[in-house]
Amino acid sequence: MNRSMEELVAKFNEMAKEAQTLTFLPRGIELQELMAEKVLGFLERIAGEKGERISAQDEEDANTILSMELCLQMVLQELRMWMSLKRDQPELAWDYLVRAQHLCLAAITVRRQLTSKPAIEGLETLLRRLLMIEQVVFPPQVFNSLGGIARKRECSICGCAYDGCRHIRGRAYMGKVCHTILQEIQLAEVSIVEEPADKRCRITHFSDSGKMRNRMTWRLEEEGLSPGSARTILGVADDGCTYPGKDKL
Amino acid sequence: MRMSATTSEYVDVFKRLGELGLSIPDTKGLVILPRGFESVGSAAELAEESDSSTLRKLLVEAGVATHLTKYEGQNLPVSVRRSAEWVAPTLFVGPLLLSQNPYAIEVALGVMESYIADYLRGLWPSKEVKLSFVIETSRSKKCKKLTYRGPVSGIKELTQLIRDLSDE
Repeated sequence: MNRSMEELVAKFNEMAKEAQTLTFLPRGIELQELMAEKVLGFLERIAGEKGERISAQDEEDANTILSMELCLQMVLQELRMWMSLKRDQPELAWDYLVRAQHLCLAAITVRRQLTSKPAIEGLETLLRRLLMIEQVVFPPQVFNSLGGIARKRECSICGCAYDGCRHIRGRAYMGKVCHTILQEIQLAEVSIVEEPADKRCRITHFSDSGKMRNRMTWRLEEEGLSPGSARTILGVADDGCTYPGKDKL
Repeated sequence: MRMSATTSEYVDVFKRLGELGLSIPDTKGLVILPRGFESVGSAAELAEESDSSTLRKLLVEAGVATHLTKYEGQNLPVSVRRSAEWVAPTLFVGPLLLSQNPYAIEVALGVMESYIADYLRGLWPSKEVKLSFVIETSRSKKCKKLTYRGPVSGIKELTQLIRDLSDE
């Protein structure tokens, strides 16, 4: 690793450590808001650095920066989760939590691929923590899952048919994670599952006393769900992950 | 976690490929069979499991020739399941694979073990997996299905079972 990358990694570690000081419920929301802005600024900066590494065709460095982006995005989602809970927006908080979990998994996968073999134990501990938050902070959820077939599947890296290209889903290529884009989907079923690919696909309400009971807040709401409250997945990508700038729902 | 490996009779794979109008490039490698291969009425009902292509790429990368079936020269549609459950495709071990590449099965099982372990990593590390292999026996020329249920760590134990079935 060259000196400029070493310096970048050191700054990333410093940023991640500072941000994680605030990923707790009792921390001041105004501090969390400031930190979220700071993380976003850092992400912008390292995106520029990544662009330079891509221009220089330095795949290892580009992927190293990608792993930093995934880690910081994860911390950012966690900060947003806690802030949303304080603002009485638990459904939004849930989505941030699920994104944080996916980002953590993606970061682990990318780190394992790097030739410098950075440690992943810390990320595995963070993933367990995020899973624990899901169990302890949020009420139990009922998830749904779609089944069907896709007639076409495109690779996000080269745009070719995934079956014919050399890229492998989940791996990083020149600073981007490969995912697949499903096309010409025919839905066959919607089922209730215990372990969905995407935990944002959940039953949000059920009818109760002529009104709709919100499964998250337990409040009774008027009939006619607000847009986005009834979640159904019709993902364009089938890896179940969310990466920076790649929200596939 | 309990581990089990059971064998059962299976349809003649080559005959079935012909009935469904499916083609494979050659019979020397592993063939990833589509979902419903054994039971569907026509090829129009077939679909690849979501991970079949990825698995094929990983196996080829590891040096094990692996093919997907094609219908009229085209890839089959892909099954979309938004559940986190990892649905393993059924792999057909052709008669020439073991004689021409004795280590192919060992390598393939290693690749699968690593891939599944990564998939389950963190979220479901202790989850049971189910894998199926169809093997054409070298003497009786019959197809037999080997079904494994158990922990990811037990997958490598299947090497000898597959070899034994192949020798029957």
